[in-house]
Amino acid sequence: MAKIIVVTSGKGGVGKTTTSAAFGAGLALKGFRTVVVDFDIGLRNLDLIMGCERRVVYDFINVIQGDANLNQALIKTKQLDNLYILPASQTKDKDALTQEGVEGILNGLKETFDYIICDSPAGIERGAYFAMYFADEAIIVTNPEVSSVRDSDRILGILASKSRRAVENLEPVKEHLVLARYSPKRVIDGDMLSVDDVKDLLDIPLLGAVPESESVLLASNRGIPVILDGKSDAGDAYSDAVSRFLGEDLPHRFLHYQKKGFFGRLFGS
Amino acid sequence: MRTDTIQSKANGKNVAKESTPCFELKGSVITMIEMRLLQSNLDFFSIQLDKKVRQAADFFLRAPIVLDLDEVQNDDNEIDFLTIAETIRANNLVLVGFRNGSAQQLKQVKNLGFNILPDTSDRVSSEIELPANNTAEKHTPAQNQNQKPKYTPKPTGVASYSRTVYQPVRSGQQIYAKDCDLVILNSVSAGAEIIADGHIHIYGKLRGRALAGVHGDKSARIFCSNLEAELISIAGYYRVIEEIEDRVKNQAVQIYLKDERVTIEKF
Repeated sequence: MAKIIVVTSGKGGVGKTTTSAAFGAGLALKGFRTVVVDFDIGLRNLDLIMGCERRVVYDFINVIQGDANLNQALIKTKQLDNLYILPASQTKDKDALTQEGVEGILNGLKETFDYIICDSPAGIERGAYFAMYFADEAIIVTNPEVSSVRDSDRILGILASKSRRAVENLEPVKEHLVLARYSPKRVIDGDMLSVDDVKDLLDIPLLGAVPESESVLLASNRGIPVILDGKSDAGDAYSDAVSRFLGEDLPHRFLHYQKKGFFGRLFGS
Repeated sequence: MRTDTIQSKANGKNVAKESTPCFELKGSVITMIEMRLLQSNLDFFSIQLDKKVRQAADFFLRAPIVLDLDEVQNDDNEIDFLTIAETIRANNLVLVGFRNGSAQQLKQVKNLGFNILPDTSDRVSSEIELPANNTAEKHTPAQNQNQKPKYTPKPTGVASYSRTVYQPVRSGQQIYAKDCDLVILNSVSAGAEIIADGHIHIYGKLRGRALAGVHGDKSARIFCSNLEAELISIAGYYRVIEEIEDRVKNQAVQIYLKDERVTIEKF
């Protein structure tokens, strides 16, 4: 049975698209047929992050409006055979989204894919609403700072009250937390909320803390999901998070600041 | 409700005996709106009332009204009580009766078939402030502690049930327990608002706003296992987090009104 996962946060710039791309690639690596859907109509980014921007012909809105069928709009990624993206429209705006249209597309995707990852736009308006409405599970991306945490809390409230599962009184949307841009060093210095602070405030299970890393920016610019970068700690953190999402019980890495020893500094670890 | 059951019994097998009670009497407090008539000239009475009611139609819908004649009892002009009553009824208000008029006025009222209510000395003197839209009234941060009630008595029955919430109450969510207590078996996030006409119990952390007794029940209390609230309010008297002492923060507390002061007490 296909699962719909929304990656959402409320606040912008916290790492939703990076997380969507990483989870898409991570699930595909585990052998699942996976599609990542860009719901940020008008501000198309996912195709860039996943290196598909040169092959976008049709988009989400074309499919909703009947100008193209789903297979024409889906783009297979270069890196992984079972990973696809459905790009957003860059020229339309979020008013072009309709409930029936979104439902139709998701139902179509369910026939082919194991996991459908909905990359939500920031905010709590139309785009974000449709991205989360049909979700079975939610990945809440938060940065360790108070405004991001509060916005995530707001999104959790909306998931618990306005999603299809809430409206139809089904089992609630399963919630997961990804703490992105985490810097254990800055936590020690008192500049940042700690994992425990965020867990205490949001009270949902943690899939993983992703360390602040240059490799994320690099991967984005190259259009390769960071999880495929074998040398990146952020990639490793996402890889662990995907395993935990699939039910594995792994100890958390990257939560604590480790001072590099003499040899560590010398050779770089 | 009770009369219904008795009636259905009686209609069914007709087993009523003299010892079977037909009714029971209970003390009940109903908050009413007091309308003080300020002048005998009623040329603009209808227009003004209509305007007032439009400001908060929900608030006034079928609200019981007591007409107080204290201010006009020495006015020798004759007052058209019938028009007043009809105007009140036309605005979907329920005129319960009159009080505090001159002997002449009360006689006139009685002859027209209206009720005369006893005078009371402990009258409510604060002018009614209308709720903005519904209970989601915005609070401006307090300049000083314990200001005048923001929420004013709305005619309701007595709280008799409770509403229980099992999920966390997240930022931006608002939960209102009408005419009853509110029990939250989880945490209330910053930016969330929980409101009850009766008591409020929170068995998680209270980081948002909690407003108990919003329709004027000064005996309402807030019980909470961990206080980090942005704002707490009893019957409209409130305190914001800056006015909460550190020694009660993150503690299990009860909050109640003592001499019109919001009082926080550790358990």
